[in-house]
Amino acid sequence: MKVKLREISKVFYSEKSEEKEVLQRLSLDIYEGDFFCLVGTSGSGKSTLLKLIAGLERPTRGEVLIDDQLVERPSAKQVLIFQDYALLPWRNVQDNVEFGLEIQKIPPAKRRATAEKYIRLVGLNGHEGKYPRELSGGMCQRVAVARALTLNPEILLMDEPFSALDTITRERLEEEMVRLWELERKTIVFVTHDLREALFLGTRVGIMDSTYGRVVETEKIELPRPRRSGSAAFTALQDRLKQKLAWGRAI
Amino acid sequence: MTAKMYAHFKNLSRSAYLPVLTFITFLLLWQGLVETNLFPRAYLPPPLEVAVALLYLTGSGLLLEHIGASLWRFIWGYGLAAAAGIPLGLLLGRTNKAREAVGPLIQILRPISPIAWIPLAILWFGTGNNAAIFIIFLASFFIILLSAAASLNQVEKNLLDMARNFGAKEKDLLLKVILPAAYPQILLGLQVALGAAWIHLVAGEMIAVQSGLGFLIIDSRNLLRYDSVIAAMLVIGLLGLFINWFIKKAGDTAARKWGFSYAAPESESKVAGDKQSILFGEK
Repeated sequence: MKVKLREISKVFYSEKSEEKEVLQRLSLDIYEGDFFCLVGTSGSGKSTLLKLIAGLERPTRGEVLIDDQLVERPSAKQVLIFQDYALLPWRNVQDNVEFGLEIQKIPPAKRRATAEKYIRLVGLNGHEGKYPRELSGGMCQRVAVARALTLNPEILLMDEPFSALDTITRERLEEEMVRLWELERKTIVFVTHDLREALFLGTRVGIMDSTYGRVVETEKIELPRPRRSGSAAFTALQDRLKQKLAWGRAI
Repeated sequence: MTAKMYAHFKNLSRSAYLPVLTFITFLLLWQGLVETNLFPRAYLPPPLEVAVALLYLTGSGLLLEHIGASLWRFIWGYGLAAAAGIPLGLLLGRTNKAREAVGPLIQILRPISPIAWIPLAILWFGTGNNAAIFIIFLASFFIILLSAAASLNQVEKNLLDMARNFGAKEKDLLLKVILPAAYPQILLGLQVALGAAWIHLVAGEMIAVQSGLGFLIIDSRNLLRYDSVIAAMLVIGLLGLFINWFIKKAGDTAARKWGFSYAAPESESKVAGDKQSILFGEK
């Protein structure tokens, strides 16, 4: 078991000191090498869940375990990739990708070589000198992925990374994500509100429910790769899971 | 002359054209007001007389002396305000408790015009440089302090989370994320404070000291030399413009040196797009 969430609750306080429990006694197991896709409506606590796994937030109750170790603080072993990329606007592509290595005090020569390797991997060679504002959204997200990979994390946590992108760019990055996963076999926890995306990418999908703040259903995706979202099997599965997504939601 | 230089001058002359026209119109109107006796000469010296006064002040070395005295006070007052205001402001912005504790007091002190402090300044420091420096300090300190505190709001939480995720501790967060992100807002505060400091420098010098451009105005008035009064006013305006330009230039240079600069080098295409092939699997 790579990631184990045990009876997690997370309570936020609004400005009027009202309690809001976004996660309620949530339990979830994610296996080594899983491409786990978590689907849920916005506000269902998906992002919070990723921050808990990343160690950037602490649960109010319950515990997060990675390799049976309690997660108490952030670590470069599990890296979060943000929807808005979280690139430093005053650094060019090269320096953004080197950021993690710089923090880890890797010597400059090695930094440069490692960054170059991952910049090539995500197809951004030739753009090293460009600044984030000169890049399209898709390219920014490639930079963020390259930066995350430089420290060779065991777990990638992705928070709706492609939802701000246009459909064409998004589908291309999804394909690249699958190839990356097949290549590096990292454990990936991928959050999305798009069931199609989850079924295209994942080895397992979890359905998150906003009313209860829990994962109400997990299912192994047995569809063969490369997957096509138009195929009969894909559509059938998508329709079935959509039912569960709708049921869980109290309207 | 290379083509690039030529283009540069052409640009410059095009951008200078309107302001110069306005300036000339302004001088003509001014001269006209006096010539037509709408404003008698005794009430408004015409531009030519002011120019003569300016030449006299420059030639006698008086002007340079007063400018020197003013700039010296300015550098001290403004420099102290920046040296105290930026770190204190950052501290204030970073710690909720400090902000809660000190915030209201600052909000009460801030709207008090630095000029209202002049009696106390003279009581504490006597008439002399220190009183004037104190006034300049007050004029710029709160602006710098508050903009430095507010600059931390410019730092996106995601950037901090990202850095912490990679193992950044307080020092790295401050030097590699917070300061670069807050820098433009801090610089803006420094520029606004500069204007305020320069304005109040003159006010301080009119009361507390016996030298400087503010004193030159009062002294000329006492001698009924209104041409010199206006000449000194113009010098104050021009110097203010120059100092503002200088601070902005220095700020940009520093930003580039420290790698805080948001300005990207010139590039052919602004957005290159996702044209390149799928390369995740190229390895």
